[in-house]
This record gives sequence, C-alpha cells and structure tokens, in this order.
Amino acid sequence: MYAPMSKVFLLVGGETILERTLDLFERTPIIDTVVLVVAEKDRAACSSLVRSARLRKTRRIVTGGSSRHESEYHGLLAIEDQIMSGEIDTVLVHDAVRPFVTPGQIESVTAEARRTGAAILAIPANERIVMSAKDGTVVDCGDDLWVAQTPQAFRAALVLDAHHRAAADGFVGTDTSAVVERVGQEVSVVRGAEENIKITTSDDLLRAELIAGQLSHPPHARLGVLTPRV
Amino acid sequence: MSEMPILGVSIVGVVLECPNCQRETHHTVHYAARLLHWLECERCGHRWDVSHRWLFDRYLRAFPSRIASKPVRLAREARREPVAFALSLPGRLFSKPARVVGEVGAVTGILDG
Repeated sequence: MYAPMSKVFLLVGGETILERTLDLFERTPIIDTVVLVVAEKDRAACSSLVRSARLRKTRRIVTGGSSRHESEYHGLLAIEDQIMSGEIDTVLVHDAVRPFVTPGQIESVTAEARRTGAAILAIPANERIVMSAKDGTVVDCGDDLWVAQTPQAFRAALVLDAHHRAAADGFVGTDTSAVVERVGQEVSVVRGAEENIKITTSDDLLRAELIAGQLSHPPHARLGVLTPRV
Repeated sequence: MSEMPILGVSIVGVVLECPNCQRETHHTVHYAARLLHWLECERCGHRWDVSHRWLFDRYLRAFPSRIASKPVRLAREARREPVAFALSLPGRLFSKPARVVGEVGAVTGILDG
C-alpha cells in the first residue's frame, strides 16, 4: 500500500488539482490576492508548487485548523488587517478540490456578493432530496432545492465579523454561507455548473479526468470509456 | 509528482471515499504519462480502468502543445534554478528518447503484460 498523499496533489489531465484550481484564480482579473490554507504537512509542497508554477497572486500560505470552519477562520485572520483597512473589500472562499469552476463563474458570484453582501454558486438538485426523521421516516424538504458549491463570496468585513462571532459563540458552520446566514445576512444564489465538481470520491476523480479531457479537446471527448472492474 | 518515474508510469496512494465501501478508504492511483489509467480501492478491491484507446488519443493530442511549450518551460526552469538546470540538461537530453518511448508504452498498454 502506498502512503497516502493529499488529494490536491493528484493529477487531473496531467496537472495537480491544486495547480489547476489556483491557476483559475490567477487568470481571473478581478482577483488580487489568494490565501492558500493547507495542512501543516503540505506547506512545503504547496510552497514549492506555487513557486514553480509562478502563481503570483498566491501571496500567503496559512496552516489550517482541524475543521473546514476553523481553516476558513485562519485564512480570514491572515488578511484581517487588509480587510479592516478596506484594502480587501470582497472575500471568496473556495474548495481546492473544485478545479473546474470558471473565471466567468468567479466573476458572477463576486459581482452578486458586491451587490447584496453574500452570494454562493449552486445548482438545482436534480434528484429528490429528503430528510430522515429520528424514527427513520422521510420528511419532505420541498421541490426547490439547490446544491451549494464554491466559491462563496462575501463582503469582507461581513464575513470576518460573522466568523469572529461564531468563534465567540462556539458555532461551527458547515460552510461559509451558514456562518453569515447565522448573523442574519441573506445569501444570494448564482447558478453554478455541473462540471464544478468537488473531488471527494473515486468516481469524482474519474469524472474529473473526463472533464479535463473534454476541456482540452472538446470535439473529440467521449464518455463511456471507463470500465469498472471488480 | 513533479518528476515522472521511468517509463512514464507513476503510482500513488490517496484517501478517497469509495462508493462501494461507503466510507473513506485507501486507494491506489496509477498514471500513464501523467494521465489517469486506473484506480483501485485497497479495502474492497473495486477497480476502475480508463481505456488505452482513450489514453493514447489524449496523449497524442497533447503532444504537439507539449513540444511547442517546451522552450518556454525550459527557459523558465533555467531562470529559476540555473545551476541545477545546467547540470541536469545532458542527462535529460540523453534519456529523453527512452522516456518518450516509455510514455507511449504506458499509454498504449504495451507495458501491462
């Protein structure tokens, strides 16, 4: 068995997932600064990747916490001074393992956050979603359900304040949107794309390889080449 | 993963959720010429393969752009680490044909047997 590496260093279409993701933000003109929040054990490898790929916008590499929520907070604290001074007016939070968001989607969600205060990318749930009650029976959640994606964009002072308050109260959000919703901020939904997948499962990794192939060679991309074998 | 091992094949371990086991498990991931070839759950043995035809097709299509971008990539590397670049260049030039043959073998499945 091979010692496991972090998912962000897996190759998709010949490039690491992390390089693909960071490069998207590098190529989005409205983005000025990227703060990369990583596990301590990955810091050196991430620094090396940022240097070798010449990712000039990735100015800070910060060690994350024990949860997604805590890691977000560490990232925000790293730019607190710039937020307080007004140098940074909008903050986007993105999963590194979503390498197929587009610069256009990044710009759309940022524009909406600048207009309303908070916005997330999401896609309509194409299957019925239900809750399971304590007795194991189905509780209907309604029809108009969407699946949240990232990036999630916020006015910088708002999300920093929401995170400070969450820390004071011991609240842990499932995502950044939940943290700002908790302080009464409405969050707008901007339509994302099916391709903006989060690479979590083995199926996701295969799908990511297909999407990468389609992006590099659209007319010739073919599905149905994967053959599950048990 | 920045250095490709000999013959264009690399194998890494990673923790992913396995749809079969319905939990996070160790997986082995096999790349041919930096393209995903197969992956396997170490717990249940479930394995997915990418066809050699698709792999070879992608490899061939990417080849011209790799050649076209090579001078820029070499120049970047030379600027970044000039001494290491100069020292490694003769060996890399000498071994390049073998590495390309290795990549072709990996993506066409010649090496599988």
